[in-house]
Amino acid sequence: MDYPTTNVLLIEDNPGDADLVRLRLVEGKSAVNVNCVNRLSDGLASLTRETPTLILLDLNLPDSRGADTYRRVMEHSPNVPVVVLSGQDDEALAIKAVHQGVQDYLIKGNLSSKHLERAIQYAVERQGLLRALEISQKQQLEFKNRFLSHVSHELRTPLTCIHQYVTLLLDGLAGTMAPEQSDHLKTVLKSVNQLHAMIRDLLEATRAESGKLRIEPRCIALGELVEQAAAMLRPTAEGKKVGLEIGLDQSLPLVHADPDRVLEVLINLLDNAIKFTPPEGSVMIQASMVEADQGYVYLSVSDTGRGISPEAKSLIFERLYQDPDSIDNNRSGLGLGLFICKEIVRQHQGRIWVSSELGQGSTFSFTLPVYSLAKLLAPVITYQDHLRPDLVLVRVDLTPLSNPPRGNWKETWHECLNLLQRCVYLDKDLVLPPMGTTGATETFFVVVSTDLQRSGIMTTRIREQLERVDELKSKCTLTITTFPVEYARDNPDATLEQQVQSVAGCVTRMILTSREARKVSATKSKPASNSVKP
Amino acid sequence: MKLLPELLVVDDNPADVALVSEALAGGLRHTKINSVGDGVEAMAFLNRREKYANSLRPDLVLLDLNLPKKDGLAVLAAMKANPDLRRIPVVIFSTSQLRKDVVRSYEVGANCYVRKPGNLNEFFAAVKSVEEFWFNFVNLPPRGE
Repeated sequence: MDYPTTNVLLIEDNPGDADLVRLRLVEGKSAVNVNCVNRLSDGLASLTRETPTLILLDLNLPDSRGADTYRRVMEHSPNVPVVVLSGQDDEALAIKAVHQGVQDYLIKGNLSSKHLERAIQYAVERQGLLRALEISQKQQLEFKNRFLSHVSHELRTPLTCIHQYVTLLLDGLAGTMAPEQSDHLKTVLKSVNQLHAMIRDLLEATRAESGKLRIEPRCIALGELVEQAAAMLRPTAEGKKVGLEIGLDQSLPLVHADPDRVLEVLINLLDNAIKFTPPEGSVMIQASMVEADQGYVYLSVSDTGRGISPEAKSLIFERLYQDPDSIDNNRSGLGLGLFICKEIVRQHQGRIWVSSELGQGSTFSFTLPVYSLAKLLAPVITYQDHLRPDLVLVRVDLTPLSNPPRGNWKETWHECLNLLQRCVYLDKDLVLPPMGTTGATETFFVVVSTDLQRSGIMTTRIREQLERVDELKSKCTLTITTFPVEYARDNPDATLEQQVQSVAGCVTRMILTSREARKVSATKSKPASNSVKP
Repeated sequence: MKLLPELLVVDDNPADVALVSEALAGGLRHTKINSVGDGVEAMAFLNRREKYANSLRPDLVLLDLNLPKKDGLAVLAAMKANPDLRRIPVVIFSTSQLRKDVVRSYEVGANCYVRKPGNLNEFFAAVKSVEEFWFNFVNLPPRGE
């Protein structure tokens, strides 16, 4: 049989052994090219240049010994088959290597050319098969994900139609309904909603698996999100007579996260907690900082439910996991909730875990990265190693005239952001990344390097430009407010970095207070103070 | 809602400015055209000084070389030295075909040098291709960050 030329990379430091192997290879019937090096580093360098058919590897080299040698080779070139050359006395190590993915081993003492030739051929064949298997598995997974994603999309369309007509009937738009009919229809609607939620989860999980779960991180204040999630789940908790408490650290920093996604995680965890907590129990949602890990905010949802067994703890974040001891058998959902939570948190570079003891309740915790305002501000508010003397925080509020806003509101605010970016000086002003909002009003903050008096020029420009856009004018009202940034300058020994930190802290506090104030003023329907009028 | 891309035309010849506007008016693309007549005005516009206090940073500058008060190369150099302005692409649009003008422009940091054609059709074609190229094919720098 005719085989194509085999290129062998021989990594062997003993010249005698190397010559012997080379001789045996050349004696064989098939065409073989041997490239011989005597150090692992040279071998790896050669692998970077070209890919041989096979590697013959001595494990004890001047620059690497034992298991480390084959691990490094396989890590460098996972697709090239490796055959280990072993001495009589270290066969045990060679067998271990085979367990860990090396294709074969040969004892150096009794090499025949026939033996060697066969070992090489088998190793190449096996490696090829393994590779084909890997590829086919990957294709199958991809196919499954595409299929699931397609099916869930297709299922949604008729379901939306059913939902529309059921609500139409329930609203009495197609004639009056008898109470019994309406009750039945309400049951239908409930099931439709459940089905909707399941399909949504399925889609999300498929997206997560194929790496398509996208997050749009913004700069967000967690307090508002936590309160929003709690408010949404309060009726469910009250219906089950489960207490729902909120514990928020004072002065939480802003976090860098996608508000919609974080809300999804919180709702999911809260919903689970309430589901598994008996009446008269309680659920607590908390957000806090941890001394040892200042880069993250820690969030947790704890309950007084029956807890999770140690075996279940390791499985609970896997997809499709369902509690086998679940008391209520009419379980709803697919067991994808925690899997989706895990993926969302992972995308944020956070961690999620559970601590629990049977009968003692459980606590689900996750972390979200703190937004580093200081890093963003540093290049803008410093000049030749000094802090700029005056800084002003400009706040731009766009309140849509109708709620929900008409048209493509997302695109509108995107363009507003765009416009703001073009009104400022890139080297000394900073349009802060959009804040996650809970209300309809969209708020932008700009840090401007100027004093309060001269900031008028900037605010006029912003007002003028925003008002020039007809679409904005017809859609929302515009309020621009300015605040001087008054940070503590009393410490003359502070390094520039510390000063920037102090400004960032001050700006964060101002943003949080000003948002609080808006919430209050919104309920009183009073305009914000200090408004700049055109 | 989509904001129009903004073009700043710096040219002392009002006829040329009018031609640029006309060339772009008929196209499918909508570009907002601002124009100034000399180098000092150009810098005032770009730095948003005085009567230009409310103007926006443009997305692209079409810059003539022979300008009163402050010539095109000086404007270009000032832009490239300013951290707020240096990322705005500058297209030199000049009748000059002198080697030294072309070389100097690129040395100072021009993003491209387009010869201003004398013939009307060619003039239109040049302006239209500049617009098409810079606002359709090119990835312009994000407006903030």
